[in-house]
Amino acid sequence: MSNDDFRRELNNVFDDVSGPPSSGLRDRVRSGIASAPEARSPYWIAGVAACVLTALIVGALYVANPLRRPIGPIPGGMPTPTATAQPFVCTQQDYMPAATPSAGAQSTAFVSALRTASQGSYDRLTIEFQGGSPTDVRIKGQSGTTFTASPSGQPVTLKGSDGIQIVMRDTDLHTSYSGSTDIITGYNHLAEVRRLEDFEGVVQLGLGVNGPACYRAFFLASPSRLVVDVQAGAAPTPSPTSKPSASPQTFVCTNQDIQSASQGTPPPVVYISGLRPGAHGTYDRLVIDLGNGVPGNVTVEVRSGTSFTMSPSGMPTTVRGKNGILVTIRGADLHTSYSGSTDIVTGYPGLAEVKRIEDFEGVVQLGLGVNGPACYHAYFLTNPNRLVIDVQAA
Amino acid sequence: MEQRPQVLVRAVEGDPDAFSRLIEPLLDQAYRLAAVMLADRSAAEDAVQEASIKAWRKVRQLRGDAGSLRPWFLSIVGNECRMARRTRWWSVIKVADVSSPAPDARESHADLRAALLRLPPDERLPLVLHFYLDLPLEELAKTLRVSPAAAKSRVYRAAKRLRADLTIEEVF
Repeated sequence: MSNDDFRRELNNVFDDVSGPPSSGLRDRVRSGIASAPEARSPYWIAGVAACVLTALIVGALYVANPLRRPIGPIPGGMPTPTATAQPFVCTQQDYMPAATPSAGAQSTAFVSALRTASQGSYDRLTIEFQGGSPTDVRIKGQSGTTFTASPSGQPVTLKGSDGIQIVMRDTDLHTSYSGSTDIITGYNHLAEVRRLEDFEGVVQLGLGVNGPACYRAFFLASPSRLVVDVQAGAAPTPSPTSKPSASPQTFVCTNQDIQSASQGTPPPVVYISGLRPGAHGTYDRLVIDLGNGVPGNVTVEVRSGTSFTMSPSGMPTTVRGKNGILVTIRGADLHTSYSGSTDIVTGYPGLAEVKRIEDFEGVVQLGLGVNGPACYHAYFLTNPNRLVIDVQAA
Repeated sequence: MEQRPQVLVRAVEGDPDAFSRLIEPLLDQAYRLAAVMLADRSAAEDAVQEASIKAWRKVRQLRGDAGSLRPWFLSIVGNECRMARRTRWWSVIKVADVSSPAPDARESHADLRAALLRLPPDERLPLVLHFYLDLPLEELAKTLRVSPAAAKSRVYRAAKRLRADLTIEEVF
């Protein structure tokens, strides 16, 4: 092979490997640049900003002088929780405040903190709000610690033997609150606090209690907060009949087509923004984040074997596992908002691999390799929009 | 140093449209570089997009005139490809067709392709820049961030891995 032949042949190989870029690359880059933050400032600016901010905070704290403020009753006779043990009066009835401190001041109460504390003869949950208090709060006790999460409808079992359910309307747990939504306390009375719902202005919390659920609840102001004190009846320690703390959720294998949760018209193209597999004990879960809406046409098919046909290349491909599940989302796009791996090998007992089979002309296909039977349960969740596919562990 | 064109000045001042217009002519070359480096067309487009965003964030660091833009941008793409190869350790990395490594059959297209894709990234990069993107030696050196002599040496050394009897005169 002459030198010219070598150059020509090498260029043919380069052409063969690369091919032309897709027509959307230019738009993709342009939109990426438009949505990316501008060039970062030099580090010294960030350093100076941090110093200024620190000085402001220290100054504000010094002026407010919170630590040297004399301890006394809050003006106006507002009830105040103390760290000392108070006589515990168990109301154990549905609770609804007659008038919350700032009800009506704002349409949504934003939960800004969930705090738990052991107070000796009882344990306390404090729910702190920003910008007002919820207008409607219901609290009720129940036997057992199994609740129903909303809107998924999945059963959720908490630690402890009995439960308390708190329902707050016109409330939001995701805007101002960034802490844990499943708090396992290790206390004698209050075993666990878990978010059951945070959807369309309704927040539900489930409390797991180590014994018969006995509680009292009241509002405090400045800052606005709902206090729920819990006493585990006569049994300060978990009773022998308490349920296992880590009881697995029941996996229901439906293998059914899924219905979109959105009642409106789906957007022309749904931009998939995330592929997130996770192991959940009896099942493994794949969450497909749908950035801008819920697609109108999604099919999930069970395949025997793990071979799929890539599209549009037509090349065969095989994923890990024993059986396969093909997820087809029409009117979707995996390359605009998603930049992660398109071939995820999980190492989980159920879901072995997730691989992109097609991402072409508005059709996204994902091949799932599963180690056990191809048994799945698929459903949509919103806020944020996502398609959830649970696969039974092998 | 030549005076910077207005579009480059505006891009450095933070105009995303100006920056997009500046790098759009380079996207095809950037994609081809990434596609050969990663042997995966989809991953190549991801890398080019990511590199473009990084370039946008670092555009204030660009030194020189408009002629410096291409080697600067391609070096970012090259680094992004290295990062992509490194971060894909947990996923399945597409391996090129390397089933027939027969050294005596270099003349065939398939074997040349296999031999090329067997090269480590540091050797593949100068070959792509020189033979495929036809970068002048000065730009090649800037992209690799080495001296022109070192760049020449790297291209020659990598080319010899594909064809042992090449002389340096045949390469340049």
